[in-house]
Amino acid sequence: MIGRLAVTLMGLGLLSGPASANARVGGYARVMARPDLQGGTGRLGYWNLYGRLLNEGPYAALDFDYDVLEPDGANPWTTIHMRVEGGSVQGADSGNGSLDRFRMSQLYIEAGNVIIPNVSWQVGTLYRTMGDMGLYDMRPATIFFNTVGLSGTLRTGPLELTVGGGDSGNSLRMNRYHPVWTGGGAARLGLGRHVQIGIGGEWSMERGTEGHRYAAYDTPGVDYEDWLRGETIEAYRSEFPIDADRFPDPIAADAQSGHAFAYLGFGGLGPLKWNSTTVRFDRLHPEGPTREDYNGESEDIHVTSLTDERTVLFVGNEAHIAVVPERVDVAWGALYGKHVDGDNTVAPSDHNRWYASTVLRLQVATTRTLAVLLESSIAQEVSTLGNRYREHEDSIFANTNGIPDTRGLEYGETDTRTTWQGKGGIVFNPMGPGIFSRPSLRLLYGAQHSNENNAFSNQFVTTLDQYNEFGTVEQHWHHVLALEAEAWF
Amino acid sequence: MVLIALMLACGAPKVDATNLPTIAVNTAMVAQSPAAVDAMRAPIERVLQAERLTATAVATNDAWAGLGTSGHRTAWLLERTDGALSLLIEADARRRATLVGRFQWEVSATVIVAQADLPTLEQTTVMRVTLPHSHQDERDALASAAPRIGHYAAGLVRQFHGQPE
Repeated sequence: MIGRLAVTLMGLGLLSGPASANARVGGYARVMARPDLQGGTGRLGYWNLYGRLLNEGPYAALDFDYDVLEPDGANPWTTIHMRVEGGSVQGADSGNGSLDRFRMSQLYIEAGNVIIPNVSWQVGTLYRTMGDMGLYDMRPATIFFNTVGLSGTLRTGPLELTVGGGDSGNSLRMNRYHPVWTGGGAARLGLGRHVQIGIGGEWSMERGTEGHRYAAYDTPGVDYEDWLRGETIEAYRSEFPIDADRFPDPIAADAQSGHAFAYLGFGGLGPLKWNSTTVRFDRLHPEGPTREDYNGESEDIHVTSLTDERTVLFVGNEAHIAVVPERVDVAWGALYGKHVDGDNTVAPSDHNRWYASTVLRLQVATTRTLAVLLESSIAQEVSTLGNRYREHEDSIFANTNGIPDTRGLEYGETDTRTTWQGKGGIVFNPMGPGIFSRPSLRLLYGAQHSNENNAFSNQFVTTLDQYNEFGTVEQHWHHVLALEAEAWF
Repeated sequence: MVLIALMLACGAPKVDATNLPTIAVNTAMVAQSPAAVDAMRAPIERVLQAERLTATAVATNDAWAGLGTSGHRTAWLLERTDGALSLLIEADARRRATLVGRFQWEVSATVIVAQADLPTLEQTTVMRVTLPHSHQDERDALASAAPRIGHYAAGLVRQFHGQPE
């Protein structure tokens, strides 16, 4: 189905003529060949915290819109918009371009100048962003990523104001759909050509629905550590061994989540083209149930109140500087994130950590179409609830305070991962110089050093079992060569 | 292989414009606002100059602002230049989509080359430019597209003038 749609959209793209025509197709493509001679899967490090370059895989998006009624001054207009996107390309990753890795991420109809002048109404997916931290490919100033519904956007002079609401249940709960009502908005105000400020946020509410199997519930009396170990039923049966003692029925609960952000951008000041700063605070949506089996008994363990105190503070900054216009460009980014899980006091996890990172990219145009790119990043990730990383091939696995313990909830011998990456190479920019110039064809080399052993996605065997037929490997340096292309079109 | 071919294509030497004869041309530009015209004028003129077109901007007046069609503007331009070779560029930019963290605009440029007693050459090109920030407007989009518009216009002028593009 998606394949047919993609072919149809591409056909429309080939047919699309001047801007006055009704249909338009745009898109994005990122594809690379990165043979990894050290046993990795072609990415320099684990994730974008070290900069997106060489840490991301292939990606493609096809974006289509059709004017049912073209914009014409103050008259009503309406446009249909849809997008298919995903992260796999034949030969470039293990998915081999499989269409099940693609999704229709956006579909909405927008209508403007209806009832209220300068207001466009949007029904469908509502995702909206104030921009990108391009070095990290992160978008903290975003609303309605999960929401389908209705929004209205007023654009007047320097002000853009969006208010909307809808349902995020399918995105958050997927095949366990239950409505999650979401409301929110964002406002961006330009103070002249040099300063922009913005705020935004959303709040989601999932009301308990008695009798609905997929609604938010709590299983009474669950201990966090028992749940983490998958031993909730076992713990219960140790107290109530008789089958006649029925496992506690879940109790309906309310689940809530949301986020708020503030944005400040300024630029056009000397060599500073633009600087964006975003602060965002999230309260994450509680998890759904997990399935446990014990001694022939299966139960869903509902954990709304055990997962409803997860918060994320994010601060990010990115600056673009034209040191020598059309010759030397610099992009600098830095971010800090702190994740706190108020319910979990026993085990390290993604929800109890902080991280900080900085990335610096320098691009020097040697001709109109050829440039040299250099980038370096340094990042630190710290678990705030104990050890999380193995530094050596023979490091301990499960432990308590560094002492091997098969029942221990910690992992490895350190709570800190420190990662340095350096990247460099040649960039071909057919459209001319500039750090944002695309298409961009790159021949790159990247190196990473981490205190963690094999700190990149890989298929190494790590067991220290004497019957491990593959052996173990210790390496802290990782080198990648890449031939890649990226384009917005 | 495709990537290598593309890279080699980018690295290929550029066609040398210095061997081309100079052509004098009068120019006028139209966009959504005077500020948008200002944003694209300088980069277009730089490209015209690099491609050995000696561009002379024709001063416009209130009457110009009141002209509603390309035909009227072309006629006005020829009248002001005594029928000399003239280039009219009409461009507009429209925001299209937010795409993988950037903001895509569609720029439409209609280029009209005219000279007294000769049929007018008029062609439209549509291109997309992708800007990094959400606050950027049609001025930024036109400025970003301007080099491509200039190159396209230079080619049409040479075509009209009967010289290689």
